[in-house]
Amino acid sequence: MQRILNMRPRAAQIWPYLFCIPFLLAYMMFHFFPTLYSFILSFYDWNGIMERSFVGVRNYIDLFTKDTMFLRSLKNTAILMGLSTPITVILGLFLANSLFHIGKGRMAYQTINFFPYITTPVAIGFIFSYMFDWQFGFINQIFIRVGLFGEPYFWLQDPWASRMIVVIMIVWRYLGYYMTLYLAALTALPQDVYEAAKVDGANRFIMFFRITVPLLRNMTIFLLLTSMIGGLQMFEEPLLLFSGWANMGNGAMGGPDNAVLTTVWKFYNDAFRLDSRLGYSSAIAYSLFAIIAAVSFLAYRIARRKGGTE
Amino acid sequence: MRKKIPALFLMLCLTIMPFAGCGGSSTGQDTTAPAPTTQSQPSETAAQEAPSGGEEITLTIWDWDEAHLTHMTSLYRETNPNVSFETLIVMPTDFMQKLQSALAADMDVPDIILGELLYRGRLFELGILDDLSQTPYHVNRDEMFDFAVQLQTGPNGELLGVEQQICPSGFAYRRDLAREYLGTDDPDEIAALIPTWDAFIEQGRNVVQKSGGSVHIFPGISVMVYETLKGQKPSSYIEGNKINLTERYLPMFELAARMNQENILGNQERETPALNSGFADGTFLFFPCPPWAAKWNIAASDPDGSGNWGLTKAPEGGFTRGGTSVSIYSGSPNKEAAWDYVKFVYCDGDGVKEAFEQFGFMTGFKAPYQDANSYFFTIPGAFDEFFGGQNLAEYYINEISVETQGQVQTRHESTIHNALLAVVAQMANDKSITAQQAMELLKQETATMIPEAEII
Repeated sequence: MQRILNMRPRAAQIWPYLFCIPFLLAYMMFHFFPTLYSFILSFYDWNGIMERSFVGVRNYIDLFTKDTMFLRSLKNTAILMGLSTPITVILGLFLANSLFHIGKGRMAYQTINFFPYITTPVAIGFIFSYMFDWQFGFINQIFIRVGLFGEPYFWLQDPWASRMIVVIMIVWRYLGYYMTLYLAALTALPQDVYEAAKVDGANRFIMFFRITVPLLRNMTIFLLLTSMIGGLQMFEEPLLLFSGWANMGNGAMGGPDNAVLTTVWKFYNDAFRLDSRLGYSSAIAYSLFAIIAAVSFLAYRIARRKGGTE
Repeated sequence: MRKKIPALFLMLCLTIMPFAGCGGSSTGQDTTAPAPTTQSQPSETAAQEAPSGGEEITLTIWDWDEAHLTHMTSLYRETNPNVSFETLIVMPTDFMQKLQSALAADMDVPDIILGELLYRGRLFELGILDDLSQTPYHVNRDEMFDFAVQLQTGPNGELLGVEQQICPSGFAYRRDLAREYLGTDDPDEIAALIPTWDAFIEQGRNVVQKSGGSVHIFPGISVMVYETLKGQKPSSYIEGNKINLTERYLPMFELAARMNQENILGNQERETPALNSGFADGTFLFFPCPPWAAKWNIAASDPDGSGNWGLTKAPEGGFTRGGTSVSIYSGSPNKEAAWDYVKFVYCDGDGVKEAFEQFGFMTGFKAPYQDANSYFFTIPGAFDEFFGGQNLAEYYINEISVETQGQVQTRHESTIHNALLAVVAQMANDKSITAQQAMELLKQETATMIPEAEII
């Protein structure tokens, strides 16, 4: 009897672990194992069907020394991320601050701004392809009607115009999300600080830059970090813009002169679209992982240091 | 900070997840394909009526032409009730990725594999298809059209497929525009007006002049280069990693640059809304037309144009455009049943006639066309009426196919197609690009995409 009593607490301790097993098994099967397997695969040459051959770090060496398209894709990703991230964060902050002080219709504005974020990416690709279409796009129609252009401009065959359109797509899509997060953060700010500032004669401009922006630092760091990680993984927007008629049906090429070919798109092309080099593609994935890890860590350290918390 | 490192590491780990697992399972990227549907499972009655000894077999087929697939599998089951089908609609753009996932997982690989030109070179080099000239298939190459054999040849000379429907192409034309700008809508008379590309360019100038620039002889440079000229004069220009792009493509670019600079082509480029609306709007006269394009391009884009279209020969002979191979998966446990179905639908079975009558499909085997009274020539095809009552099958076989050659498809060939499209897009944007400049652009694009290639 004493023995049974002694066992009870032990048995009770097992239950939490038992309940965790289904999740852990699913995690091991669908996340941990594929992640590990892809890493191992990055040291092989394999098309998914034939016998695989061990090549050591050759995939990684080729990637950084021979594959000019990979290096170009890194550059494109950095450009697109570098342009879209600050614009989205800054605009999101200004928009949230403006909406925060609007009394009537705030919810309506908030909802309208949030719509693009919940729009299907395929639809966004279609909308922008159509807007900037060479012959039928209404951007060209407007410019022609107001007399700015004599004939339609082929936006989606101009490398820099294509990049700008991708940036506009990203900003348009994520602005509502950033704005909502900033709005949530604004509601949590202590109002007595603003009241004190008012008493001291501070205007709205000063209060925004001296109080609001510093107090929202943590949210800004969070948004910068997540948008940098997301930016380095950019794939959907340029692919969907150029998968259809914008690229004359050539969904594998990253726009004119591969100007919007991002690293993940390059990975997708090498693994599935243009080729079946699964080992090489795994090397791209892990190289990108290392780059994201390094960039995120650096950005985090810099942001915290500037914030004076360390 | 030390406490934050594990959290940061966890966050970074999450960033790798989207890339993980490329070698193992389906990544769920195939959002366009609906869930598999088992079609017409054998009923109890049907099973009882099955031929003696006929075991129950399920064949897996992926296709993008749902109407054809549904109709032909149902027809086949009327005489083979012991065979049921598991069908899945997969678009050509998703086909290769989905197939790779199935192969890597060794699960649900289709018994019959379709190879659209978009990815056929890569598919043929995977080494997963049976050589149909060998046992148990014994397909005789001599019984197929030359272009069909060339388009179905694998990297080591194997015969890896049969034609789903032939793809020798001529020019479809709008009869009203032909009467207005060429003075006739008779196919032979039109062919006589454009026997060479020089004559075509001359007629192109006339069309632009007479229409005041509102109508062009051809939609755009991408349709001309990628859909027409690329498939006209094939050659063996790829040997391993040695690729003679100059020999293969410089003459083509010289012609294309000339047309571009002469301004005889429109701005309706391939896969664009402008092209789709151009069929009905009448902004171009000719369009490259293999048998399948009558349905997918012409009738689909100009639904009210029945009777207003015709088919003539292209300058300097036929060319191939698109097309799909039908192959048997070498790992299939049902090879003989799969081959029986393929023979029934695409080679010499009763399904060949049905596919022609219902869908306008024409087999790549010569035998049915050798009889002048063949149903191909006596029964109106599915789109003959749309083409003003013209006997399309007769025209395709006797006027176009006899002189058409096909390009052998390899992995590098597939890649060069993408590079070519990139160059063509630049030529559409800048009409002053010369043949030499286009050639250099193609070499650069190809070198970037195939770093190991030796390009001439």
